[in-house]
Amino acid sequence: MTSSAFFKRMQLSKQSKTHKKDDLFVTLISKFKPITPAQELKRGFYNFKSVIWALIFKEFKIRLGESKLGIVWVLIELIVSMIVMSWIWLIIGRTKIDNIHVMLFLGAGFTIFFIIRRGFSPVPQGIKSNSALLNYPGVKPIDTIFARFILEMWLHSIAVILLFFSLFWILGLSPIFSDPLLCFQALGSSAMLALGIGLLLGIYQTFYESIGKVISIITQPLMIMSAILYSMNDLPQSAREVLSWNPIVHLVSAFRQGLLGANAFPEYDLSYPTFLGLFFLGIAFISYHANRFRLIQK
Amino acid sequence: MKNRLFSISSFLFIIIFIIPVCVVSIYYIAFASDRYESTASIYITKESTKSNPFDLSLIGITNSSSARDILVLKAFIESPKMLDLLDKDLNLRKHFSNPKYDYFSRLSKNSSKETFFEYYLKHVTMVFDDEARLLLLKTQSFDRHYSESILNGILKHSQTFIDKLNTNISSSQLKFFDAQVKKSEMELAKEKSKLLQFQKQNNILSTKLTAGTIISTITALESELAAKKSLLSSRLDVLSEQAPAIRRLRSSIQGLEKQIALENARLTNKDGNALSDLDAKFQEIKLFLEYKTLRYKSNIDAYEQAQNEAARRLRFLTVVSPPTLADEALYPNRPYIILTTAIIALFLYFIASIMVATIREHT
Repeated sequence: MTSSAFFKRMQLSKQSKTHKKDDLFVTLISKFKPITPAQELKRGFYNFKSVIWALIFKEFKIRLGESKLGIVWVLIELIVSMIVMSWIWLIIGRTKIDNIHVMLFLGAGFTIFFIIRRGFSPVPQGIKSNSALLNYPGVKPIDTIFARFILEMWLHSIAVILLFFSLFWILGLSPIFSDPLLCFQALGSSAMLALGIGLLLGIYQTFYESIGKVISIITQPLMIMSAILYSMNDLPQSAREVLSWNPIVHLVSAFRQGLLGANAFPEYDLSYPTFLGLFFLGIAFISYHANRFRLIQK
Repeated sequence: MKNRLFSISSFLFIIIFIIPVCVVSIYYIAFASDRYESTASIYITKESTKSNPFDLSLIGITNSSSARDILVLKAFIESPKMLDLLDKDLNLRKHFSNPKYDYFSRLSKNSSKETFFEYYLKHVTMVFDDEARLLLLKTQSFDRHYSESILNGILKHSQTFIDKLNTNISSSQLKFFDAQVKKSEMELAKEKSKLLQFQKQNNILSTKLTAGTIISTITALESELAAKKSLLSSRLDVLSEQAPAIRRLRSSIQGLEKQIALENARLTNKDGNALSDLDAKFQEIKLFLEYKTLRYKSNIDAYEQAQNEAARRLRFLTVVSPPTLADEALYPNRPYIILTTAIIALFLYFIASIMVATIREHT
């Protein structure tokens, strides 16, 4: 018997021993308390929920700790960009777009656009910034994305409330809520699209760093292409046909329609961004499921 | 363990994917009634359009006047009024709520007017082509001939709508000028009758002519007077004051002087009945007459211009392609709908099952 063969056998016996031990453990537990699938789901959901909650609090604390200005900026960015952009219109002398005050019109546009933009920028980086926590067996990569997404949406909704409240308080402008259900539909679809994009980018950004850089270059002209600053109805048909490939245009139009009673452009179709969001989310889930172990290794 | 996981995901697969896709396919293949589509395209022309000096179409701002006409027509076609007209002509409600067709695609029997209108809008679609200024009309119904007749009805009512618009425009525009012309005509006649009355009252055709004759009489009389006066002075050298010839001359000179004074009095008199006063009145009447004539003329010009303008603003509905008769039921597009449902269901299944798997991983 050579030494190497002995070593091999030793390893084999060790493995089989641990296997047996594991099996024994499982059988012991199952004897004491058989787990039904419903119970398993319940327990899994409880753990999932508590992990996400813990991550949300951790992320929020980090956000607060980084700099006080950071969190103030998150809340105020919406108002500042709305004011700066509507200032341009007001200087030109145009106070109304599609018969709606410029500030409300742009505010509604930014509300949707910032949801999508968060899917590009802070949400996908969740995996990387929480990579230390992935060593814990209870924390999965998808939890970090979910936690970040929920936190971002929460901060964004506070920012939106601040925006519309300050518009009402200072200028007396208030949205008419012509179709509240359509508002929620638009917000839900944009959130789904943002989550789909965020998860998909989060997965592949951890594998290939360059993707993040490419995406940040590609998303530069996104605001101009999304009809945030102007109305689609002011554009000629040929331009509208090109821009209507952008799902954000439809979401923005739907939100403005539901919130402010604006007229939709002729090519408008809300089902397009909704299905695209569903598609992105499905693809993201599949690629997460396929790469979940590789992500932890990374 | 493995078996259990399989069971949950297969349960989800059945609930989310197989059942919806089966329900949708069974409904669309076995029950859904065929819908036939008829299409037509129209556009609106104007008699002649003035070319705009600022052609903004180059920078993307289209000249909206003719686009507006067709958008107005579009608004008319998708109005409850059009539905009423079509329902009267073709009994739309009866066709669409016929129990022969399947429950989900037909209109329910006791539906309200609003639901019927919504249903109508779903079955009549319009696409406005911005570049060609064409309006593409599509109607769907459960019968190929019926779709065509609905579209024909729409075109007929659109034609009457455009005609009505034309008459409204021309009549409202011409009415004003017509009234103006009539008014100035009447005023002119009034002035003319005033002149006639004046001429009859004073027995003169024109004060200028009368004044001319009086002046020429006066000059003739004056020259005669001068001749007589010179004759008298030459006779007085020879004859005595008492001579009958001198006396005769003196009396004729006196007569002439009287006549001249009389004629002068006819021209100018302090009483106010003189020719100068008459002339002032006559000139005033004439001036008014001239002014009214001018006004009448300009009003007639304006009327003609308005007529031209109205003719230029007339719109004509042109049918580019007449309503087509469907050969095959294009709707519902069964493979498309089933495939779309399958894809959506599949993605929903992916999301749900992976969500479940992720949750299970947390135990």
